[in-house]
Amino acid sequence: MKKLLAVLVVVGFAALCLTGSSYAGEIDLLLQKLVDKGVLTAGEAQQVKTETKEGIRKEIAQAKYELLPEWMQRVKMKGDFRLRYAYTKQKGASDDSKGQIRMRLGLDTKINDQMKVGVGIATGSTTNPRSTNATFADSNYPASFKSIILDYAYGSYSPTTWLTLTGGKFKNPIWQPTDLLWDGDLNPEGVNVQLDYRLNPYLGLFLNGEIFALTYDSSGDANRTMFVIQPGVKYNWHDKVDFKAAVASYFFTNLKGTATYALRTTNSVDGNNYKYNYNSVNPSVEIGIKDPFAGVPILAKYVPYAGIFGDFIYNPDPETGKSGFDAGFKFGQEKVGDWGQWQAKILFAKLGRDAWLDIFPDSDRYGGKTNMKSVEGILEYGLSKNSSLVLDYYWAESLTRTGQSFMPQQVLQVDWNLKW
Amino acid sequence: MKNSIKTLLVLSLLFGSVLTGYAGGPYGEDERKIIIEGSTTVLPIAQVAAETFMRQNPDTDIVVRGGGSGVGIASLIDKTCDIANSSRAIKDSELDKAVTNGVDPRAHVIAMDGIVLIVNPANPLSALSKKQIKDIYTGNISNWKELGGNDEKVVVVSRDSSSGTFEAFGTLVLGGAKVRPDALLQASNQAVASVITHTQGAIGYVGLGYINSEVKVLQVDGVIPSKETVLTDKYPVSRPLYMYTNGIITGITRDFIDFIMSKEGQKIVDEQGYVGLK
Repeated sequence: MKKLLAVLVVVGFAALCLTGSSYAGEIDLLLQKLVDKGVLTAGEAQQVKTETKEGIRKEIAQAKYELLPEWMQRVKMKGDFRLRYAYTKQKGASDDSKGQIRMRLGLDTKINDQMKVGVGIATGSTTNPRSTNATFADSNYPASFKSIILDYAYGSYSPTTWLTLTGGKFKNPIWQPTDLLWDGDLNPEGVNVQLDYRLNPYLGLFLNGEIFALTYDSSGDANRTMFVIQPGVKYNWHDKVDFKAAVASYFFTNLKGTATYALRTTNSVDGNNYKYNYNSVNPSVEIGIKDPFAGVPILAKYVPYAGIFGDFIYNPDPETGKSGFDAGFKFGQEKVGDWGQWQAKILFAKLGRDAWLDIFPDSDRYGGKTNMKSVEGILEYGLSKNSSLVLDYYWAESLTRTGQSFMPQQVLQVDWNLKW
Repeated sequence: MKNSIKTLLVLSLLFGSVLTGYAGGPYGEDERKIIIEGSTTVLPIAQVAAETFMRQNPDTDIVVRGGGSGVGIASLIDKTCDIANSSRAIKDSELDKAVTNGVDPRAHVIAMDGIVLIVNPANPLSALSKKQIKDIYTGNISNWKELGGNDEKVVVVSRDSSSGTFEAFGTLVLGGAKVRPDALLQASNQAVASVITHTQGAIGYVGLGYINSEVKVLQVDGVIPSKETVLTDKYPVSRPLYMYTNGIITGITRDFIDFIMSKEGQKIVDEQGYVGLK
């Protein structure tokens, strides 16, 4: 042991004196000589060589980190850019064809080991919480400037590895395998408690508890709040099958019999007021299988992953149009992260008129309305690391087909995504 | 009153003894339990070593979990495990994350993993290149004639995808490519060797510790697999196996790593079919 320690010191010193490619050759030579002379065994030489190499890699990472100013050591920057072509065809209306960009930029700053602040900006407008798109030439002036909005700003506190408390405007913490209920751009405002506890390497439990502010009224009379609780379970079977399921329960205050939101489109009204409550229950499930076609020629090679998933919503208050679902399957790579990787996804959705508040669902699918059924097909292809091409096609129509805006609609979106 | 005080003192001492029941052991209250997590390749070594270590040190509790190298290293970075088992070196991105999280990952090489290519003894070939092995396992070569052997169909035998040996073979030989779908997947090294023994035209791979006289061992890129060629990096289908810890180790973590590196620990490594460093 002492001999090995002495060799480690000598080799470590030599490694510090040498750099880059010269290191590998010289150290290997030195160790080989020690083996030849019987000072070290081949196993000890292998141990010294590998551990020294790993030690140097760590020292370099440490030095890189320490060279950064202190504030930069605590900050992580992330963002993405999307270029989109969108084509919409609706019966009885002119075809709509447009170009759009989306940019999002975020900073996460560690205050200490338990506390973090996150701030993000994005393109978009303050009046549409379901979109961060900026449309080309959408004003009376060509090449007009685009608005930048505050996308999120929050503080979070994690007293343990399995508990996080967050407050502010933040990414939606409610787990959803589809966007039946929540548009991905919508960042709620309020507080969130997240428990994520792993019982063993295979089984984990999680719980999301949220209080979202929906309407602020200075008099307090018309304040609206949403309470959510979502317990769930995650299970991994031999690294081959991933299972995740949860049930979210939603409770709203001050909704039924009060004035509708200006963004309302399809929910039932009584005069200008909401006719129903939207307290509802939402089970969600997702099952992913790695190598689902092992042993089947061709399929085994080209389909390394397949998954099924679905959301269901039920609102007991209305007499009709009280439920909805979005279910689908995906196959290809589990995640598209590099050149040549791909994933295809097919989803079937139906959402009753009053199953859910119509101001929250995915705005690309039939304008985000309820009272609709749809089919969506998505094909994503990796162009390089952190860059992909996405084709997203929607076909949707109203469940009752009344009025021009409720005619069948087809949307095709072609996206070029770049992330950093 | 005096009796009451005496009784209280005796009870306090008894209670204290129960609370510090391990006072005679070498470890402090917080040091008796460690969690080891990560690579399924390293898992059998860690499990047997932990059982032996706990038998020798009854006041210790070592929890050993699988999950994969990435999971183990992520847990080390999150400070939820004491030792991360890994069948690969920590990635640069993981190192950066560790440093940012104030974790000082230290590598301990505990063994080498050497994978041996074996064929049926009737096969006239005695050597293949890595490229030829890849072509066989990915389906580009299906007859031994294409490699100068008999006019005979190649029967490809592989470990099943949950095994660490399968993962290592995929990385070291196939470069991430998929094994041909008609390969016969076996659940153990012994099962692979058995199929090779009884099937003419079969090729398979096993850990260095599982070769026997009923199979023929192939040279790879001109190198005969042996403990020496694996330890000296001459044999191309080999890799180090790691246990990563955070910073300077003390207490049970240090003693456990020392145990693995001892003659007894390295014997366990050999018994599990890997190449010990001693």
